[in-house]
Amino acid sequence: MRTIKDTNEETVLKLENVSKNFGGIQAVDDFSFEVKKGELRCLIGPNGAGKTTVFNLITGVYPVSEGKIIYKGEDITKMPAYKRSRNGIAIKMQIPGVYESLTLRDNLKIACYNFLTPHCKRRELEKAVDELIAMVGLESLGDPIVGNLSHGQQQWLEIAMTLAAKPDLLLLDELAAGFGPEETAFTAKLVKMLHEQGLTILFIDHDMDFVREIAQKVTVMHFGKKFAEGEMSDIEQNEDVQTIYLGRSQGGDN
Amino acid sequence: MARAIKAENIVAAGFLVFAFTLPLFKGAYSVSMFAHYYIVAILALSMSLVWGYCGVFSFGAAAFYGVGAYAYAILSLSAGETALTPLYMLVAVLISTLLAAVIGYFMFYGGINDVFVALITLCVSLVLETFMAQTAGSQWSIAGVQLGGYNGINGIPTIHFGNQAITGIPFYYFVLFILLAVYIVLRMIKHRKAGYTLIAIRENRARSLLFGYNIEFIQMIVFALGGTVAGMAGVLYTAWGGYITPNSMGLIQATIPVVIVAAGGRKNMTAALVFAVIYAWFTQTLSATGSEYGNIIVGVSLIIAILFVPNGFIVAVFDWIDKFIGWATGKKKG
Ligand SMILES: Nc1ncnc2c1ncn2[C@@H]1O[C@H](COP(=O)(O)OP(=O)(O)OP(=O)(O)O)[C@@H](O)[C@H]1O
Ligand SMILES: [Mg+2]
Repeated sequence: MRTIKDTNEETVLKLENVSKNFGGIQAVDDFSFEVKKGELRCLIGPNGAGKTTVFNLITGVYPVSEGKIIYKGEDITKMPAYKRSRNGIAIKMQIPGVYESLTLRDNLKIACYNFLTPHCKRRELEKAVDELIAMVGLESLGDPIVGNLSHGQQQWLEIAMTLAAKPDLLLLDELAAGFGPEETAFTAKLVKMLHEQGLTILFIDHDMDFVREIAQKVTVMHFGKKFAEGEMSDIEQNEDVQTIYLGRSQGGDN
Repeated sequence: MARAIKAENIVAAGFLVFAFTLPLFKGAYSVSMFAHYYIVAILALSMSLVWGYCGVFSFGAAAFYGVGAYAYAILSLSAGETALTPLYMLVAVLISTLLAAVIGYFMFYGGINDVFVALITLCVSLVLETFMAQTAGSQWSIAGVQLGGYNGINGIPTIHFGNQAITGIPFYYFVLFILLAVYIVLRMIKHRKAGYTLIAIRENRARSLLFGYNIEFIQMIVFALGGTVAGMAGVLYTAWGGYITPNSMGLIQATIPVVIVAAGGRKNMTAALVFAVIYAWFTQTLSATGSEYGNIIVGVSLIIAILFVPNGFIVAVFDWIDKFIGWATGKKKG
Protein backbone atom coordinates (compact mmCIF):
# COMPACT_ATOMS: atom_id res chain seq x y z
CA MET A 1 0.00 0.00 0.00
CA ARG A 2 2.94 2.33 -0.46
CA THR A 3 2.88 5.12 -2.92
CA ILE A 4 5.91 5.50 -5.15
CA LYS A 5 6.73 8.87 -3.66
CA ASP A 6 7.44 7.71 -0.13
CA THR A 7 8.69 4.17 -0.36
CA ASN A 8 10.95 4.60 2.64
CA GLU A 9 8.11 5.63 4.91
CA GLU A 10 5.79 2.85 5.95
CA THR A 11 2.11 3.72 6.09
CA VAL A 12 0.42 2.34 9.19
CA LEU A 13 -3.07 3.58 8.45
CA LYS A 14 -4.74 4.79 5.32
CA LEU A 15 -8.34 5.90 4.86
CA GLU A 16 -9.50 5.93 1.24
CA ASN A 17 -12.58 8.05 0.45
CA VAL A 18 -14.29 7.04 3.65
CA SER A 19 -17.84 8.23 4.31
CA LYS A 20 -20.22 7.66 7.16
CA ASN A 21 -23.78 8.79 7.43
CA PHE A 22 -26.13 8.34 10.35
CA GLY A 23 -29.59 8.51 8.88
CA GLY A 24 -29.55 11.96 7.31
CA ILE A 25 -26.37 13.20 8.98
CA GLN A 26 -23.21 13.01 6.90
CA ALA A 27 -20.74 12.73 9.77
CA VAL A 28 -17.76 11.82 7.59
CA ASP A 29 -17.74 12.78 3.93
CA ASP A 30 -15.29 11.34 1.39
CA PHE A 31 -12.42 11.57 3.83
CA SER A 32 -8.93 10.31 2.95
CA PHE A 33 -5.72 10.52 4.91
CA GLU A 34 -2.67 8.59 6.02
CA VAL A 35 -0.70 8.02 9.16
CA LYS A 36 2.94 6.99 8.74
CA LYS A 37 4.86 4.74 11.05
CA GLY A 38 6.27 6.60 14.03
CA GLU A 39 4.19 9.69 13.27
CA LEU A 40 2.53 11.87 15.89
CA ARG A 41 -0.45 13.32 14.06
CA CYS A 42 -3.28 15.44 15.34
CA LEU A 43 -6.81 15.57 14.00
CA ILE A 44 -8.46 18.90 14.75
CA GLY A 45 -11.71 20.56 13.77
CA PRO A 46 -14.74 22.30 15.28
CA ASN A 47 -17.29 20.44 17.38
CA GLY A 48 -19.22 17.94 15.34
CA ALA A 49 -16.66 17.94 12.52
CA GLY A 50 -16.62 14.14 12.56
CA LYS A 51 -13.34 13.45 14.36
CA THR A 52 -14.66 10.95 16.88
CA THR A 53 -16.62 9.27 14.12
CA VAL A 54 -13.38 8.79 12.16
CA PHE A 55 -11.94 7.06 15.24
CA ASN A 56 -15.03 4.89 15.51
CA LEU A 57 -14.59 3.86 11.89
CA ILE A 58 -10.92 3.04 12.43
CA THR A 59 -11.61 0.91 15.51
CA GLY A 60 -14.61 -0.76 13.87
CA VAL A 61 -17.27 0.43 16.30
CA TYR A 62 -19.22 1.53 13.23
CA PRO A 63 -19.01 0.10 9.72
CA VAL A 64 -18.13 2.61 7.01
CA SER A 65 -20.90 3.67 4.63
CA GLU A 66 -18.38 3.93 1.82
CA GLY A 67 -14.64 3.75 1.31
CA LYS A 68 -11.77 1.61 2.50
CA ILE A 69 -9.59 1.39 5.58
CA ILE A 70 -6.09 -0.03 5.14
CA TYR A 71 -4.05 -0.93 8.20
CA LYS A 72 -0.47 -2.16 7.91
CA GLY A 73 -1.09 -2.99 4.28
CA GLU A 74 -4.24 -5.00 4.93
CA ASP A 75 -7.80 -4.01 4.07
CA ILE A 76 -9.57 -4.06 7.44
CA THR A 77 -12.80 -2.39 6.28
CA LYS A 78 -14.82 -5.50 7.10
CA MET A 79 -12.79 -6.74 10.06
CA PRO A 80 -14.70 -6.95 13.36
CA ALA A 81 -13.70 -4.49 16.05
CA TYR A 82 -12.28 -7.01 18.50
CA LYS A 83 -9.90 -8.32 15.82
CA ARG A 84 -8.70 -4.83 14.98
CA SER A 85 -7.93 -4.37 18.65
CA ARG A 86 -6.01 -7.63 18.75
CA ASN A 87 -4.10 -6.50 15.67
CA GLY A 88 -2.77 -3.51 17.54
CA ILE A 89 -5.24 -0.64 17.18
CA ALA A 90 -5.78 0.78 20.66
CA ILE A 91 -7.95 3.71 21.66
CA LYS A 92 -8.34 6.06 24.56
CA MET A 93 -11.95 7.11 24.22
CA GLN A 94 -13.47 10.58 24.45
CA ILE A 95 -15.90 9.59 27.20
CA PRO A 96 -13.75 7.99 29.94
CA GLY A 97 -13.49 4.28 29.18
CA VAL A 98 -12.43 2.79 32.49
CA TYR A 99 -14.40 0.23 34.52
CA GLU A 100 -15.50 2.46 37.37
CA SER A 101 -16.76 -0.16 39.80
CA LEU A 102 -13.58 -2.24 39.60
CA THR A 103 -10.18 -1.67 41.15
CA LEU A 104 -7.21 -0.13 39.38
CA ARG A 105 -5.36 -3.42 39.00
CA ASP A 106 -8.47 -5.27 37.83
CA ASN A 107 -8.95 -2.59 35.18
CA LEU A 108 -5.43 -3.18 33.91
CA LYS A 109 -5.82 -6.95 34.02
CA ILE A 110 -8.91 -6.72 31.85
CA ALA A 111 -6.98 -4.54 29.44
CA CYS A 112 -4.03 -6.99 29.39
CA TYR A 113 -5.97 -10.18 29.15
CA ASN A 114 -6.24 -10.58 25.39
CA PHE A 115 -2.65 -9.59 24.79
CA LEU A 116 -0.81 -12.04 27.02
CA THR A 117 0.23 -15.50 26.02
CA PRO A 118 -2.75 -17.75 26.72
CA HIS A 119 -1.16 -19.72 29.55
CA CYS A 120 0.88 -17.04 31.22
CA LYS A 121 1.29 -17.32 34.96
CA ARG A 122 -0.61 -15.14 37.37
CA ARG A 123 2.73 -13.67 38.42
CA GLU A 124 3.45 -12.51 34.87
CA LEU A 125 0.06 -10.81 34.73
CA GLU A 126 0.80 -8.96 37.98
CA LYS A 127 4.19 -7.94 36.63
CA ALA A 128 2.69 -6.60 33.41
CA VAL A 129 0.25 -4.58 35.51
CA ASP A 130 3.08 -3.17 37.66
CA GLU A 131 4.94 -2.04 34.56
CA LEU A 132 1.90 -0.27 33.14
CA ILE A 133 1.20 1.50 36.41
CA ALA A 134 4.80 2.70 36.52
CA MET A 135 4.64 3.91 32.93
CA VAL A 136 1.92 6.46 33.73
CA GLY A 137 3.17 7.24 37.22
CA LEU A 138 0.29 5.94 39.31
CA GLU A 139 2.38 3.74 41.66
CA SER A 140 1.48 5.67 44.78
CA LEU A 141 -2.25 5.00 44.46
CA GLY A 142 -2.35 1.37 45.55
CA ASP A 143 -5.39 -0.50 44.32
CA PRO A 144 -8.46 1.73 44.78
CA ILE A 145 -11.86 1.49 43.12
CA VAL A 146 -11.40 3.44 39.93
CA GLY A 147 -14.65 5.40 40.21
CA ASN A 148 -13.12 7.22 43.20
CA LEU A 149 -10.09 8.47 41.28
CA SER A 150 -9.76 12.00 39.92
CA HIS A 151 -10.53 12.76 36.30
CA GLY A 152 -6.84 13.02 35.48
CA GLN A 153 -5.94 9.77 37.19
CA GLN A 154 -8.71 8.01 35.27
CA GLN A 155 -7.41 9.43 31.99
CA TRP A 156 -3.86 8.26 32.72
CA LEU A 157 -5.12 4.88 33.82
CA GLU A 158 -6.95 4.56 30.53
CA ILE A 159 -3.74 5.37 28.67
CA ALA A 160 -2.01 2.62 30.61
CA MET A 161 -4.87 0.31 29.67
CA THR A 162 -4.49 1.08 25.98
CA LEU A 163 -0.74 0.47 26.25
CA ALA A 164 -1.45 -3.01 27.60
CA ALA A 165 -2.11 -4.03 24.01
CA LYS A 166 1.41 -2.99 22.97
CA PRO A 167 -0.34 -1.19 20.11
CA ASP A 168 1.01 -0.37 16.68
CA LEU A 169 -1.43 2.51 16.39
CA LEU A 170 -2.59 4.51 19.37
CA LEU A 171 -5.70 6.69 19.06
CA LEU A 172 -6.24 9.35 21.72
CA ASP A 173 -9.55 11.22 21.75
CA GLU A 174 -9.42 14.52 23.67
CA LEU A 175 -6.93 13.44 26.22
CA ALA A 176 -6.38 16.88 27.70
CA ALA A 177 -10.04 17.87 27.94
CA GLY A 178 -10.91 19.07 31.42
CA PHE A 179 -7.27 19.27 32.51
CA GLY A 180 -5.60 22.08 34.40
CA PRO A 181 -2.23 23.41 33.15
CA GLU A 182 -0.14 21.07 35.30
CA GLU A 183 -2.05 17.98 34.29
CA THR A 184 -1.86 19.05 30.65
CA ALA A 185 1.90 19.46 30.92
CA PHE A 186 2.28 16.01 32.46
CA THR A 187 0.07 14.51 29.76
CA ALA A 188 2.03 16.22 27.00
CA LYS A 189 5.24 14.78 28.44
CA LEU A 190 3.68 11.34 28.57
CA VAL A 191 2.53 11.44 24.96
CA LYS A 192 5.90 12.72 23.78
CA MET A 193 7.65 9.95 25.67
CA LEU A 194 5.43 7.31 24.05
CA HIS A 195 6.14 8.82 20.67
CA GLU A 196 9.88 8.75 21.32
CA GLN A 197 9.57 5.08 22.11
CA GLY A 198 8.44 4.66 18.52
CA LEU A 199 4.69 4.49 18.94
CA THR A 200 2.52 5.73 16.08
CA ILE A 201 -0.03 8.10 17.56
CA LEU A 202 -3.09 9.81 16.15
CA PHE A 203 -4.85 12.15 18.52
CA ILE A 204 -7.79 14.53 18.66
CA ASP A 205 -7.72 17.68 20.74
CA HIS A 206 -9.23 21.13 20.97
CA ASP A 207 -6.57 22.56 23.26
CA MET A 208 -4.34 24.42 20.79
CA ASP A 209 -1.52 24.88 23.29
CA PHE A 210 -1.49 21.15 23.87
CA VAL A 211 -1.60 20.44 20.15
CA ARG A 212 1.20 22.93 19.47
CA GLU A 213 3.26 21.35 22.23
CA ILE A 214 3.20 17.81 20.89
CA ALA A 215 1.89 17.49 17.34
CA GLN A 216 4.12 17.40 14.29
CA LYS A 217 1.55 16.89 11.57
CA VAL A 218 -2.02 18.15 11.65
CA THR A 219 -5.11 17.20 9.69
CA VAL A 220 -8.06 19.58 9.90
CA MET A 221 -11.63 18.33 9.54
CA HIS A 222 -14.70 20.41 8.83
CA PHE A 223 -18.21 19.12 8.11
CA GLY A 224 -16.85 15.61 7.76
CA LYS A 225 -14.37 16.57 5.05
CA LYS A 226 -10.64 17.12 5.06
CA PHE A 227 -10.22 20.88 5.25
CA ALA A 228 -6.45 21.27 5.48
CA GLU A 229 -3.33 19.30 6.25
CA GLY A 230 0.28 20.07 7.02
CA GLU A 231 2.81 21.09 9.66
CA MET A 232 1.39 22.60 12.82
CA SER A 233 3.04 25.96 12.18
CA ASP A 234 1.55 26.26 8.68
CA ILE A 235 -1.89 25.21 9.82
CA GLU A 236 -1.92 27.85 12.54
CA GLN A 237 -1.15 30.55 10.01
CA ASN A 238 -3.90 29.32 7.66
CA GLU A 239 -6.63 31.95 7.66
CA ASP A 240 -9.37 29.58 6.57
CA VAL A 241 -8.61 27.33 9.52
CA GLN A 242 -8.74 30.31 11.84
CA THR A 243 -12.12 31.22 10.37
CA ILE A 244 -13.76 27.85 10.98
CA TYR A 245 -12.51 27.95 14.54
CA LEU A 246 -13.80 31.48 15.08
CA GLY A 247 -16.40 31.89 17.71
CA ARG A 248 -15.36 28.97 19.85
CA SER A 249 -13.07 29.34 22.81
CA GLN A 250 -9.74 27.62 22.45
CA GLY A 251 -8.82 25.06 25.02
CA GLY A 252 -12.49 24.56 25.68
CA ASP A 253 -13.91 21.42 27.15
CA ASN A 254 -16.94 19.68 25.79
CA MET B 1 -6.98 -9.46 46.68
CA ALA B 2 -6.11 -10.31 50.27
CA ARG B 3 -4.90 -13.76 51.10
CA ALA B 4 -6.80 -13.81 54.40
CA ILE B 5 -9.48 -16.41 55.02
CA LYS B 6 -12.66 -14.83 53.83
CA ALA B 7 -16.19 -15.17 55.11
CA GLU B 8 -17.25 -16.55 51.75
CA ASN B 9 -14.89 -19.49 52.12
CA ILE B 10 -15.87 -20.08 55.73
CA VAL B 11 -19.54 -20.18 54.75
CA ALA B 12 -18.78 -22.46 51.79
CA ALA B 13 -16.89 -24.84 54.07
CA GLY B 14 -19.68 -24.71 56.63
CA PHE B 15 -22.22 -25.56 53.95
CA LEU B 16 -20.08 -28.48 52.81
CA VAL B 17 -19.94 -29.97 56.31
CA PHE B 18 -23.65 -29.41 56.80
CA ALA B 19 -24.61 -30.92 53.46
CA PHE B 20 -22.42 -33.99 53.79
CA THR B 21 -23.61 -34.84 57.30
CA LEU B 22 -27.29 -33.93 56.88
CA PRO B 23 -28.48 -37.54 56.34
CA LEU B 24 -26.89 -38.43 59.69
CA PHE B 25 -29.20 -36.22 61.73
CA LYS B 26 -32.25 -35.76 59.52
CA GLY B 27 -34.98 -38.16 58.50
CA ALA B 28 -35.78 -39.43 55.02
CA TYR B 29 -38.32 -36.69 54.31
CA SER B 30 -35.96 -33.84 55.14
CA VAL B 31 -33.17 -35.43 53.16
CA SER B 32 -35.45 -35.68 50.16
CA MET B 33 -36.59 -32.08 50.56
CA PHE B 34 -33.02 -30.87 50.78
CA ALA B 35 -32.26 -32.64 47.52
CA HIS B 36 -35.00 -30.45 46.07
CA TYR B 37 -33.51 -27.29 47.61
CA TYR B 38 -30.17 -28.12 46.00
CA ILE B 39 -31.93 -28.40 42.65
CA VAL B 40 -33.24 -24.86 43.19
CA ALA B 41 -29.67 -23.86 44.04
CA ILE B 42 -28.39 -25.32 40.76
CA LEU B 43 -30.98 -23.25 38.91
CA ALA B 44 -29.85 -20.18 40.85
CA LEU B 45 -26.22 -20.87 39.87
CA SER B 46 -27.25 -20.79 36.22
CA MET B 47 -28.71 -17.35 36.83
CA SER B 48 -25.66 -16.23 38.75
CA LEU B 49 -23.39 -17.24 35.88
CA VAL B 50 -25.39 -15.60 33.11
CA TRP B 51 -26.55 -12.50 34.90
CA GLY B 52 -24.22 -12.10 37.87
CA TYR B 53 -20.95 -12.84 36.07
CA CYS B 54 -21.67 -11.92 32.49
CA GLY B 55 -24.33 -9.26 32.95
CA VAL B 56 -26.91 -10.87 30.66
CA PHE B 57 -30.23 -10.38 32.41
CA SER B 58 -32.30 -13.31 31.22
CA PHE B 59 -35.47 -15.15 32.15
CA GLY B 60 -34.39 -18.06 29.99
CA ALA B 61 -33.37 -20.38 32.81
CA ALA B 62 -37.01 -21.50 33.18
CA ALA B 63 -37.22 -22.42 29.50
CA PHE B 64 -34.02 -24.45 29.58
CA TYR B 65 -35.04 -26.04 32.86
CA GLY B 66 -38.39 -27.07 31.38
CA VAL B 67 -36.92 -28.29 28.10
CA GLY B 68 -34.36 -30.39 29.98
CA ALA B 69 -37.11 -31.79 32.18
CA TYR B 70 -39.47 -32.65 29.31
CA ALA B 71 -36.65 -34.07 27.23
CA TYR B 72 -35.63 -36.39 30.05
CA ALA B 73 -39.25 -37.37 30.68
CA ILE B 74 -39.93 -38.23 27.05
CA LEU B 75 -36.64 -40.08 26.56
CA SER B 76 -36.92 -42.19 29.69
CA LEU B 77 -40.61 -43.03 29.18
CA SER B 78 -40.49 -43.77 25.47
CA ALA B 79 -37.39 -45.93 25.51
CA GLY B 80 -38.27 -47.41 28.86
CA GLU B 81 -34.73 -48.61 29.44
CA THR B 82 -34.00 -47.47 32.99
CA ALA B 83 -30.36 -48.58 32.83
CA LEU B 84 -29.87 -45.87 30.20
CA THR B 85 -31.28 -43.02 32.32
CA PRO B 86 -27.81 -41.46 32.84
CA LEU B 87 -27.52 -41.27 29.05
CA TYR B 88 -31.00 -39.72 28.76
CA MET B 89 -29.91 -37.22 31.35
CA LEU B 90 -26.89 -36.24 29.27
CA VAL B 91 -28.93 -36.01 26.08
CA ALA B 92 -31.58 -33.87 27.79
CA VAL B 93 -28.92 -31.51 29.12
CA LEU B 94 -27.38 -31.36 25.66
CA ILE B 95 -30.75 -30.40 24.19
CA SER B 96 -31.11 -27.53 26.70
CA THR B 97 -27.58 -26.41 25.90
CA LEU B 98 -28.20 -26.43 22.16
CA LEU B 99 -31.46 -24.55 22.52
CA ALA B 100 -29.71 -21.91 24.63
CA ALA B 101 -26.85 -21.71 22.14
CA VAL B 102 -29.24 -21.18 19.22
CA ILE B 103 -31.31 -18.55 21.04
CA GLY B 104 -28.10 -16.92 22.27
CA TYR B 105 -26.67 -16.91 18.76
CA PHE B 106 -29.65 -15.10 17.27
CA MET B 107 -29.91 -12.64 20.13
CA PHE B 108 -26.28 -11.65 20.57
CA TYR B 109 -25.21 -11.76 16.94
CA GLY B 110 -28.42 -9.90 16.16
CA GLY B 111 -27.21 -7.10 18.41
CA ILE B 112 -29.89 -7.66 21.06
CA ASN B 113 -28.94 -6.79 24.61
CA ASP B 114 -30.11 -5.75 28.05
CA VAL B 115 -33.85 -5.33 28.53
CA PHE B 116 -34.61 -6.91 25.15
CA VAL B 117 -32.84 -10.09 26.16
CA ALA B 118 -35.02 -10.14 29.27
CA LEU B 119 -38.15 -9.68 27.15
CA ILE B 120 -37.25 -12.28 24.56
CA THR B 121 -36.25 -14.93 27.08
CA LEU B 122 -39.37 -14.29 29.14
CA CYS B 123 -41.44 -14.75 25.99
CA VAL B 124 -39.62 -17.97 25.14
CA SER B 125 -40.40 -19.35 28.60
CA LEU B 126 -44.03 -18.29 28.51
CA VAL B 127 -44.60 -19.50 24.96
CA LEU B 128 -43.20 -22.90 25.89
CA GLU B 129 -45.42 -23.01 28.97
CA THR B 130 -48.52 -22.02 27.02
CA PHE B 131 -47.74 -24.48 24.29
CA MET B 132 -47.19 -27.40 26.67
CA ALA B 133 -50.33 -26.49 28.62
CA GLN B 134 -52.53 -27.06 25.55
CA THR B 135 -51.15 -30.50 24.73
CA ALA B 136 -53.89 -32.32 26.63
CA GLY B 137 -55.37 -34.15 23.64
CA SER B 138 -54.26 -37.66 22.73
CA GLN B 139 -52.88 -36.32 19.45
CA TRP B 140 -50.12 -34.64 21.46
CA SER B 141 -47.64 -37.37 22.00
CA ILE B 142 -43.97 -37.72 21.21
CA ALA B 143 -42.62 -41.24 20.68
CA GLY B 144 -45.66 -42.65 22.40
CA VAL B 145 -45.40 -40.37 25.45
CA GLN B 146 -48.52 -38.29 26.13
CA LEU B 147 -47.55 -34.69 26.88
CA GLY B 148 -50.60 -34.36 29.12
CA GLY B 149 -51.34 -30.65 28.75
CA TYR B 150 -51.65 -28.77 31.97
CA ASN B 151 -51.23 -31.90 34.07
CA GLY B 152 -47.91 -32.66 32.47
CA ILE B 153 -46.21 -36.04 32.51
CA ASN B 154 -46.22 -38.45 35.44
CA GLY B 155 -44.48 -41.65 36.39
CA ILE B 156 -41.07 -40.63 35.14
CA PRO B 157 -38.31 -42.95 36.38
CA THR B 158 -35.49 -41.61 38.51
CA ILE B 159 -31.83 -41.94 37.52
CA HIS B 160 -30.58 -45.54 37.60
CA PHE B 161 -27.06 -46.84 37.89
CA GLY B 162 -27.33 -50.26 36.28
CA ASN B 163 -30.43 -51.81 37.79
CA GLN B 164 -30.23 -49.70 40.89
CA ALA B 165 -32.75 -46.84 41.13
CA ILE B 166 -31.15 -43.83 42.77
CA THR B 167 -33.55 -42.55 45.41
CA GLY B 168 -33.46 -41.38 49.01
CA ILE B 169 -30.02 -40.80 50.44
CA PRO B 170 -28.08 -41.84 47.32
CA PHE B 171 -30.19 -39.42 45.26
CA TYR B 172 -29.47 -36.70 47.82
CA TYR B 173 -25.73 -37.24 47.43
CA PHE B 174 -26.06 -37.43 43.67
CA VAL B 175 -27.71 -34.00 43.56
CA LEU B 176 -25.22 -32.64 46.07
CA PHE B 177 -22.37 -33.93 43.94
CA ILE B 178 -23.74 -32.18 40.84
CA LEU B 179 -24.39 -28.98 42.76
CA LEU B 180 -20.83 -28.92 44.04
CA ALA B 181 -19.41 -29.80 40.63
CA VAL B 182 -21.31 -26.91 39.03
CA TYR B 183 -20.30 -24.59 41.86
CA ILE B 184 -16.63 -25.52 41.65
CA VAL B 185 -16.46 -25.25 37.87
CA LEU B 186 -18.16 -21.85 37.89
CA ARG B 187 -15.94 -20.58 40.70
CA MET B 188 -12.90 -21.77 38.78
CA ILE B 189 -14.05 -19.81 35.75
CA LYS B 190 -14.40 -16.75 37.92
CA HIS B 191 -11.06 -17.02 39.66
CA ARG B 192 -9.07 -17.96 36.61
CA LYS B 193 -7.99 -15.24 34.28
CA ALA B 194 -10.97 -16.12 32.07
CA GLY B 195 -13.13 -14.55 34.77
CA TYR B 196 -11.90 -11.17 33.60
CA THR B 197 -13.53 -11.83 30.27
CA LEU B 198 -16.95 -12.15 31.89
CA ILE B 199 -16.49 -9.20 34.22
CA ALA B 200 -15.26 -7.02 31.35
CA ILE B 201 -18.42 -7.79 29.40
CA ARG B 202 -20.66 -7.27 32.41
CA GLU B 203 -19.14 -3.91 33.31
CA ASN B 204 -18.87 -2.27 29.89
CA ARG B 205 -19.44 -4.02 26.58
CA ALA B 206 -18.60 -1.08 24.31
CA ARG B 207 -15.25 -0.57 25.99
CA SER B 208 -14.37 -4.25 26.24
CA LEU B 209 -14.89 -4.66 22.50
CA LEU B 210 -11.97 -2.28 22.02
CA PHE B 211 -9.79 -4.27 24.40
CA GLY B 212 -10.12 -7.21 22.04
CA TYR B 213 -13.02 -9.10 23.62
CA ASN B 214 -15.22 -11.03 21.18
CA ILE B 215 -18.36 -9.96 22.98
CA GLU B 216 -21.10 -11.75 21.03
CA PHE B 217 -19.24 -15.03 21.02
CA ILE B 218 -18.53 -15.00 24.74
CA GLN B 219 -22.11 -13.99 25.55
CA MET B 220 -23.38 -16.87 23.44
CA ILE B 221 -21.06 -19.38 25.11
CA VAL B 222 -21.98 -18.23 28.60
CA PHE B 223 -25.68 -18.24 27.73
CA ALA B 224 -25.34 -21.80 26.42
CA LEU B 225 -23.50 -22.84 29.57
CA GLY B 226 -26.32 -21.30 31.58
CA GLY B 227 -28.66 -23.50 29.52
CA THR B 228 -26.57 -26.54 30.46
CA VAL B 229 -26.82 -25.81 34.16
CA ALA B 230 -30.53 -24.92 34.09
CA GLY B 231 -31.28 -28.00 31.98
CA MET B 232 -29.42 -30.12 34.52
CA ALA B 233 -31.63 -28.71 37.28
CA GLY B 234 -34.73 -29.54 35.24
CA VAL B 235 -33.64 -33.13 34.67
CA LEU B 236 -32.84 -33.61 38.35
CA TYR B 237 -36.20 -32.16 39.36
CA THR B 238 -38.02 -34.56 37.06
CA ALA B 239 -36.04 -37.51 38.38
CA TRP B 240 -36.66 -36.33 41.93
CA GLY B 241 -40.42 -35.92 41.74
CA GLY B 242 -41.24 -38.29 38.89
CA TYR B 243 -43.39 -35.68 37.19
CA ILE B 244 -43.15 -32.47 35.20
CA THR B 245 -45.78 -29.87 34.34
CA PRO B 246 -45.82 -26.75 32.13
CA ASN B 247 -45.59 -24.68 35.33
CA SER B 248 -41.90 -25.51 35.32
CA MET B 249 -41.54 -22.95 32.53
CA GLY B 250 -44.04 -20.43 33.84
CA LEU B 251 -43.77 -16.94 35.19
CA ILE B 252 -43.03 -17.96 38.76
CA GLN B 253 -40.34 -20.39 37.71
CA ALA B 254 -38.81 -17.72 35.48
CA THR B 255 -38.72 -15.04 38.14
CA ILE B 256 -37.73 -17.00 41.25
CA PRO B 257 -34.09 -17.55 40.25
CA VAL B 258 -33.83 -13.84 39.41
CA VAL B 259 -35.20 -12.88 42.79
CA ILE B 260 -33.02 -15.38 44.66
CA VAL B 261 -29.86 -14.24 42.94
CA ALA B 262 -30.71 -10.55 43.33
CA ALA B 263 -31.53 -10.88 47.01
CA GLY B 264 -28.61 -13.17 47.84
CA GLY B 265 -25.99 -11.30 45.85
CA ARG B 266 -25.73 -11.65 42.13
CA LYS B 267 -22.00 -11.15 41.79
CA ASN B 268 -21.17 -13.91 44.24
CA MET B 269 -21.77 -17.55 43.47
CA THR B 270 -21.55 -18.76 47.07
CA ALA B 271 -24.14 -16.20 48.09
CA ALA B 272 -26.48 -17.36 45.32
CA LEU B 273 -26.08 -20.99 46.33
CA VAL B 274 -26.55 -20.46 50.06
CA PHE B 275 -29.45 -18.09 49.63
CA ALA B 276 -31.20 -20.43 47.20
CA VAL B 277 -31.08 -23.24 49.75
CA ILE B 278 -32.28 -20.96 52.56
CA TYR B 279 -35.03 -19.54 50.36
CA ALA B 280 -36.26 -22.94 49.21
CA TRP B 281 -36.15 -24.32 52.74
CA PHE B 282 -37.94 -21.29 54.16
CA THR B 283 -40.79 -21.21 51.64
CA GLN B 284 -41.25 -24.96 51.97
CA THR B 285 -41.34 -24.77 55.76
CA LEU B 286 -43.82 -21.90 55.68
CA SER B 287 -46.14 -23.66 53.26
CA ALA B 288 -45.84 -26.92 55.22
CA THR B 289 -46.99 -25.19 58.39
CA GLY B 290 -50.03 -24.09 56.40
CA SER B 291 -49.38 -20.40 56.72
CA GLU B 292 -51.16 -18.60 53.89
CA TYR B 293 -48.97 -15.61 54.50
CA GLY B 294 -45.82 -17.54 53.68
CA ASN B 295 -45.30 -16.16 50.21
CA ILE B 296 -46.18 -12.66 51.30
CA ILE B 297 -43.65 -12.76 54.11
CA VAL B 298 -41.01 -14.04 51.71
CA GLY B 299 -41.93 -11.46 49.08
CA VAL B 300 -41.81 -8.53 51.44
CA SER B 301 -38.49 -9.57 52.96
CA LEU B 302 -37.02 -9.96 49.49
CA ILE B 303 -38.18 -6.49 48.47
CA ILE B 304 -36.64 -5.09 51.63
CA ALA B 305 -33.41 -6.95 50.98
CA ILE B 306 -33.17 -5.71 47.39
CA LEU B 307 -34.03 -2.13 48.36
CA PHE B 308 -31.70 -1.79 51.30
CA VAL B 309 -28.85 -4.15 50.43
CA PRO B 310 -28.66 -3.87 46.64
CA ASN B 311 -25.49 -5.96 46.50
CA GLY B 312 -27.34 -8.81 48.10
CA PHE B 313 -28.23 -9.94 51.54
CA ILE B 314 -25.71 -12.78 51.84
CA VAL B 315 -22.94 -10.68 50.34
CA ALA B 316 -23.65 -8.04 53.00
CA VAL B 317 -23.31 -10.73 55.67
CA PHE B 318 -20.01 -11.82 54.11
CA ASP B 319 -18.79 -8.23 54.26
CA TRP B 320 -19.73 -7.85 57.92
CA ILE B 321 -17.94 -11.05 58.85
CA ASP B 322 -14.90 -10.01 56.84
CA LYS B 323 -14.85 -6.66 58.62
CA PHE B 324 -15.20 -8.37 61.97
CA ILE B 325 -12.34 -10.77 61.18
CA GLY B 326 -10.22 -7.85 60.03
CA TRP B 327 -11.04 -5.95 63.19
CA ALA B 328 -10.41 -8.91 65.49
CA THR B 329 -7.11 -9.93 63.90
CA GLY B 330 -5.99 -6.31 63.64
CA LYS B 331 -6.63 -5.91 67.35
CA LYS B 332 -4.59 -8.96 68.22
CA LYS B 333 -1.63 -7.75 66.19
CA GLY B 334 -1.89 -4.20 67.44
N1 LIG C 1 -24.06 7.33 16.71
C1 LIG C 1 -24.45 8.45 16.07
N2 LIG C 1 -25.71 8.56 15.62
C2 LIG C 1 -26.11 9.70 14.98
N3 LIG C 1 -25.32 10.74 14.77
C3 LIG C 1 -24.06 10.70 15.20
C4 LIG C 1 -23.56 9.54 15.89
N4 LIG C 1 -22.25 9.78 16.21
C5 LIG C 1 -21.98 11.01 15.75
N5 LIG C 1 -23.05 11.57 15.15
C6 LIG C 1 -23.10 12.89 14.51
O1 LIG C 1 -22.02 12.97 13.63
C7 LIG C 1 -21.47 14.28 13.65
C8 LIG C 1 -19.98 14.19 13.98
O2 LIG C 1 -19.84 13.80 15.35
P1 LIG C 1 -18.45 13.51 16.03
O3 LIG C 1 -18.71 13.03 17.38
O4 LIG C 1 -17.65 12.63 15.13
O5 LIG C 1 -17.79 14.96 16.07
P2 LIG C 1 -16.43 15.43 16.73
O6 LIG C 1 -15.64 16.05 15.65
O7 LIG C 1 -15.78 14.32 17.48
O8 LIG C 1 -16.94 16.56 17.72
P3 LIG C 1 -16.44 16.98 19.18
O9 LIG C 1 -15.28 17.88 18.98
O10 LIG C 1 -17.59 17.71 19.74
O11 LIG C 1 -16.10 15.75 19.93
C9 LIG C 1 -22.27 15.06 14.65
O12 LIG C 1 -23.25 15.79 13.95
C10 LIG C 1 -22.91 14.01 15.50
O13 LIG C 1 -24.13 14.46 16.01
MG1 LIG D 1 -15.37 13.98 19.49
